[in-house]
Amino acid sequence: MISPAIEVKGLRVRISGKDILKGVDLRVPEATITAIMGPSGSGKTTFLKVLNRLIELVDDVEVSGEVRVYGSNIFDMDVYKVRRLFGMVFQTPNPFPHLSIYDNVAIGAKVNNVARSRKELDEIVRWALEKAMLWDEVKNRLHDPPWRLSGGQQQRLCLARALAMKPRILLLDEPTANIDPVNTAQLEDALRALRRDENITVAIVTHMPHQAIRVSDYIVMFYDGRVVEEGPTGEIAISPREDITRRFLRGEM
Amino acid sequence: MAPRRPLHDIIVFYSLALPASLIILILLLLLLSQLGVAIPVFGVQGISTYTTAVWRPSYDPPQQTIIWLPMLEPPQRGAWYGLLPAIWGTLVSAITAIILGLTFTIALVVFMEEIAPRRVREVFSTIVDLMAGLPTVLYGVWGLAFLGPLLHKYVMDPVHSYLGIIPLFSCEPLSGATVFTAGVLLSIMITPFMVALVQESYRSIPFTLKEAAWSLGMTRFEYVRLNLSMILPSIASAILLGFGRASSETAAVTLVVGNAVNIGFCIFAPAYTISSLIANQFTESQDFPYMLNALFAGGLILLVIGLVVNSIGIILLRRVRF
Amino acid sequence: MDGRFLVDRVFTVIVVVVAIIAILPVFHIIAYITWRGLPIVIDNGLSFFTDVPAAVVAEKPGGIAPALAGTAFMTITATLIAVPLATLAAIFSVEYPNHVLTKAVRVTSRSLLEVATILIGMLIFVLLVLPTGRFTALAGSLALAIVMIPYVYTYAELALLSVPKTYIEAAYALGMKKAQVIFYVTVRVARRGLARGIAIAVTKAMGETAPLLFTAFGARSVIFGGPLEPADALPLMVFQFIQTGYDNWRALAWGGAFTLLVLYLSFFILARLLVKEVRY
Repeated sequence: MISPAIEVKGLRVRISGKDILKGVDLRVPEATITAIMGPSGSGKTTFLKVLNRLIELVDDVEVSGEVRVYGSNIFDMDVYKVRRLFGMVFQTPNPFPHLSIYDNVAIGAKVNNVARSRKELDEIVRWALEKAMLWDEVKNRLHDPPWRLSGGQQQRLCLARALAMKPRILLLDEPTANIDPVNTAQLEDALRALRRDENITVAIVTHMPHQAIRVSDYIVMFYDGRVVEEGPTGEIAISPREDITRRFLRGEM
Repeated sequence: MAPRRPLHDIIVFYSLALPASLIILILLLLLLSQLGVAIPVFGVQGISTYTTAVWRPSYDPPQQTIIWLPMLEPPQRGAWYGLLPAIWGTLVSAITAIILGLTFTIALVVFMEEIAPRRVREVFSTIVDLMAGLPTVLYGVWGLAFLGPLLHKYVMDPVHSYLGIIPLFSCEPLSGATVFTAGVLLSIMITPFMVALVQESYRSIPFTLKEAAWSLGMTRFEYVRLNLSMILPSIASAILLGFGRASSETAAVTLVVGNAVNIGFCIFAPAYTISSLIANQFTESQDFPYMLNALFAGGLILLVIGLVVNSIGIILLRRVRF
Repeated sequence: MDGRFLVDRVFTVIVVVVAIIAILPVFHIIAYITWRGLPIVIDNGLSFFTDVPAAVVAEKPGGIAPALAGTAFMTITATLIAVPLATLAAIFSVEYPNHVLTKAVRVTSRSLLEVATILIGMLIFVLLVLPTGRFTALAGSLALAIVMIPYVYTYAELALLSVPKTYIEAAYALGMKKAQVIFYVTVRVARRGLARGIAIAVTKAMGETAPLLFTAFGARSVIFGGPLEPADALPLMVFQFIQTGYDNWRALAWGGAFTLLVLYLSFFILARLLVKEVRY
């Protein structure tokens, strides 16, 4: 087995007295795409937000357990350093409305001091937009506001924004839930290329079984705050061990 | 486990907490300054400061009286600063303003919400906003030059000649500058403010309740009466907060109220309100012992009215829940 | 049955009539002040805005330059004091919504909105004028700043609260620190709402008379003596001159009232243009 990028042990999360995650153990291998699937309300999104400690923005939340990223426990680290390890793409496209397309991508690089000069910044923005497969569509209007783009383009812009901070791990929270099939396919292509060319580790939350099968190397099945099954995509897609997984893959949930 | 807070967050917390605390400090200072400067006058005049109707500036300080004994007549000699007429003037003008202002408010809310077409409603709503922010001194100069004389000629004179036997209208209006004029002017000024409060509640009535009312075959009058009865707490709150606004207004009132130490049931006489008394007497007050302190005792009343009315008003507003 | 519908008719008519009566005064005020003030401004031309008030017996009334200069100085400095203070406090309330200080600031701000502004003048008088022994423009600025604070705070809080949470999440996910999230994202996304609150607060400060009576006090012999000298303001001048018996000064009051009206209307329109949906 490839060494894990993320290692989770006994992770529990309570929000306002309600158990959302009830003891999750999981390893996300490096330079792979791991799909986290499961019905809505199973704790997938919460799990993702624990990884970069975004969960701490929520009121009245208790987290216990251990999360190691490249060997270090994220709860012992400076929260801002943890977040810089991850790029994140959200369920609804959310490019900053007050920034141009260019600045939306550049801001991630800027706050993380990725670029040392204006020229380097330009290069990173271009690189990120190319990797997000958006460059050709926006190269002539980099200074337009982002809301001129279609929903799918906006989501790829958000991917580029996350990439420009040069993260080692990419977290995606149902990134295609609100966009059309063509844009979905483009985003999935982009993810596969990133894993292949840039060795980026990807964790993608999805409630669409087909998407999980299409893009991932590993699948993790969440149900009711627990991991019920995990394994290589090929195995799980063909012969899941658990009944819940089977029903989910058949689209019965 | 509680993750450690980074130093950065702690610094941000304190740099934001500082300005927040400063704002609270301002209110505390406001209370302390009114109280602190007022206290000496209570030392000589006691609570009679609020129960006597004599305003007699003099270089001779007021004669010491029993602090806790409310008197109606002050000592014969020496200075005396009784605030009763100003308190009375404030009450009378503010109550007049509330009676008229509430009528305007209900009419405007019902008109905008139930009668006017959308375009007209938007125009009215803009006008109400425009009224809300208009500098009060502009209301004042208009009241002084136009509204006062108008009311004098067409309202006060006729009412006095026909209804003069009623104590409220018994005194002969000598000019337009009366407590009644102040009340009318204030009613115009507080209306937009009260409209905002009542309208917000009126809009919060769920559509299903309104539908139910219509389905019972109610006429518009019955329907509106039902709706208004559902938001009674917010109407009460608007009355209180409107009263607070009316009692604290200074510039406009000072220009139209007549500024005379006067107490009586007749609303066609010139009078003082607390704020106009302060505005008029403040500059001279530093020359006479205890006069400035007496004015701060008046300010203290205004502050207490403001704070109390505001707290009760907000509690009442919270009671409108659907 | 007939009786009910008659009541309904009468009710509707009364509501419409009273509603119209309630808004008529503002039109009359605008028309009346224009009618009294505009001719004076026209008669005196540019010098109305650049001269100091003339002697009461002079042939021409002079101008309102001290009032304009004072209003400009005090409004701008008050804005410079109130906006950062109130905005930072509003950011505090939005960042730490459950903190006890947040509840205290909210209550305070509402109370300050309701407190008579003349009391603010009295406070600054006690804090600044009495100890230094002089009325100053700066004391006026401070009083106006306190008038502005609750308005800026209230609108800023509304504007900041309306920033969609997803932008804030995205900002933190990019590794931004709290201060960066606040100043690069939250405040920028809310900027129109913030600007509207500032415009409304400036309108209030510009039109206030009472807080200046015992702080800036008024000064009419020079256009602007400096921050540590007494200063005039447009509403203050109108308030004081309209009460005098001198034609010249009353003329200045009417011209000044018209000028104040025009200034107010311009800021009112500006605030409208900034954001439409936010109200009180």
